[in-house]
Amino acid sequence: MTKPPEDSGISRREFLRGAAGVAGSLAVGSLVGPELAAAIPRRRLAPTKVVFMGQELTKDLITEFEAAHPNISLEVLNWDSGRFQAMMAAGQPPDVWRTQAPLVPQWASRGQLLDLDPYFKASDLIHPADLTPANDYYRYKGGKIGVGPRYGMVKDWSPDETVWVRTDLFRRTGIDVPGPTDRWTYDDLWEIALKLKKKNPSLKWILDVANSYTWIDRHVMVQLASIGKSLYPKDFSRINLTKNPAAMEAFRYSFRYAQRKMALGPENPNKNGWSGPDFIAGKVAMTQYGYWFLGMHTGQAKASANSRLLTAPIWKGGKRLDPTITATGWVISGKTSNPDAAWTLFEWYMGGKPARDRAGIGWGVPAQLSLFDRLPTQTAVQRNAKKTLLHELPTSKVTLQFNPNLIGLEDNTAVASAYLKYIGTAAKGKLSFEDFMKKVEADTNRAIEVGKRG
Amino acid sequence: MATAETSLAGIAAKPIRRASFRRRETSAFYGFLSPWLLGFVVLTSVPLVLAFAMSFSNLTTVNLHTNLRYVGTDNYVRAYHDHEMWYSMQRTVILMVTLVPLWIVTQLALAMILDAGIRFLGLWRTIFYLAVVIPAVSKAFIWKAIADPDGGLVNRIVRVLGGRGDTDWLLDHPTGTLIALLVWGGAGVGMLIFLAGLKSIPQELYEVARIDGASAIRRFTSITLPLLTPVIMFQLVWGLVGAANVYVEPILLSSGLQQGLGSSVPVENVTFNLYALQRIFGDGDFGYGAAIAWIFVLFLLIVTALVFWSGRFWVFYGREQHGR
Repeated sequence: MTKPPEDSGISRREFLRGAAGVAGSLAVGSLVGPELAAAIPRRRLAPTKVVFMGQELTKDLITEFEAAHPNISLEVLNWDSGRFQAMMAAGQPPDVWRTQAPLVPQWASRGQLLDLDPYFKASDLIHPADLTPANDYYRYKGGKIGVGPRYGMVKDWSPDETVWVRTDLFRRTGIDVPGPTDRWTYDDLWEIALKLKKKNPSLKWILDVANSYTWIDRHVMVQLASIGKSLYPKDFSRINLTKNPAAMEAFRYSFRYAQRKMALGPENPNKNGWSGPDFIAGKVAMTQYGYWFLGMHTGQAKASANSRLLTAPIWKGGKRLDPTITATGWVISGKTSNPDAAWTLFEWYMGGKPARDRAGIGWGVPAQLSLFDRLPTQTAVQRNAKKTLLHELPTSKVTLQFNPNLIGLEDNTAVASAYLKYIGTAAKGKLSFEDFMKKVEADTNRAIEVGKRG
Repeated sequence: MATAETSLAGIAAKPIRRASFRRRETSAFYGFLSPWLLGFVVLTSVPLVLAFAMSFSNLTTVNLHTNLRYVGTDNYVRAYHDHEMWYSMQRTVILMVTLVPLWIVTQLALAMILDAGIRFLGLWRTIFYLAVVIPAVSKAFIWKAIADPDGGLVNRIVRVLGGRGDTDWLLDHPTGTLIALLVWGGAGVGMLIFLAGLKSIPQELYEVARIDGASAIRRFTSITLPLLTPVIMFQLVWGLVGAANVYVEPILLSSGLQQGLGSSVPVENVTFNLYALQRIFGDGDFGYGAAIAWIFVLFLLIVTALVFWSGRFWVFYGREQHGR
């Protein structure tokens, strides 16, 4: 009997893979709405079509790119987490997509991103030696972020532990505003917040902690990194929380703001879901955002005149540390059928005219050192922000080690999701802080187990 | 003779024409049905079967090409031991047993008001139906404004009545607030169905009852309710399925739409469907999410079957009128 050639049929594993792919794209659609089934894009018809998912490419940029590259057409999908997850599960990810630092390891560790080193080496527009350290979040090798091949780069970034304050709210209550490069601690921040609350009882939000808690674990990771501690063991097999006094103290610090109803979150919500518009309107006294928040001041004369960027507070017993915790950027799929075309788009946006234009508008620090001289300095708030930024840059060269076993999320990690889930109940006193943390730990460990299985 | 032949031919041709007419009717029937049928098969049946297959795998967002494997009934066993899943089912059942009676009572009451021949009927009908026309997102924002702890309408009313009026309804009473939104938002359609049911009740029955001296309550309990039982049965099944499927409104009522998929939804409002959704699109755990979704399908099938079975004892289909 002749043994059939090995490539003549489909193995059980391949069949399962194919069925799961179809199921991922269709079944999930039926379970959560037909729009998701329709969301799976048709496989590229033209060999030079690039599918991008994100919100950066405006109509003007698309036109500009396609005019400059007539052999490449773009299919731009607005960012939609559910749609993206369905596409990933179905094995049909976009060619290029927008992401943030904590999400990169899950894909890089599973070979789902294109190694861009050969492209960087050959590029005339982007030179690795010109890249700021924030771009290291897109490097990954052997379980470590910051080393190995580059899988993407930031579109722009900021040291994210800085604090924006409304000077008018400070002055009205007779509280001194710290200088843009003054050294201060988290205890100082707490004292100021208490004073602001006491003297402005009607002020609903004193401090936005960690982008309404969506980045809570990232802030805690910075605080812990400043004292040489971590949320995770070296193998990322679990989160160390309830038996990690340093982590408990860091979380307790933020929790105090929620308990006193001084922060912005499920226990004290606003209509926008983030503090940006309310800070500009003078309804939030302080918000812990990076330099990028300068962009929000454009065209806002009153806010610009009454806004100041302060350095990152120092955690108890720690060193000054102010890395980016977002590092928003782009990656290219390892499954793309058009890697060269995908890189062309990537290189044009990250190193071409769009990158030069972005550097001058204040929505973030450029990814390339050579573009730093384009930082805006026309207004007082822009000059203040630049001064603080330059003061922070030496402390920003740290790459936090995010957990590659935490998969499948959009902007917040499983830790932040769990935190958001219980913070309302805990802040009301219906759940003790210890039980709150136990729940966050259990939820996160469950998510880690999912990542370990797959 | 020729006439007789023609007539015979005509008679013989009739069944052929009838058969042809029937074929055309059948074709038209399936022609009209086919878009729905195609959609049902492609977008519902096939995905359901594939999701069933997926529930026996460890599929996540990242492992299709690396570590995908058959895991047997692991996901179902995991679900059995998942306290949060059971809690979400409990919350869903609470929603079903409170929401459905409230829907039926509200919808029937509104339908009876419209059926009573009040003035400005069109205006009232529009007001009652308005909530159906408003998109879910707008409804949720209206409700958030009404329930706002600081300047919301509910707290203002409480203050006028002498209370403290500082309750955070969305956080302190999340399920109550959700139910209120859903009752308001879902009353219109059911009202129209009840109205159609009320209009189909023969007026002679009421006239006879009046002549016999039956009070309004007696007429309602002995005529209106029994003759509406088929409509109530429909509303019950429709309502139970609708209540069990709630997941958008809890997300919309939560504080942060930017904070991931319903991350900030109070745990009391995490319904079974939302829980499955969070496992799939929050954790990226497609295999497990599919298993939960299938448990949900089975749960709904059992509930629906029980309701249909119970109908034997209380639904009046009017057979007695035909002498049976």
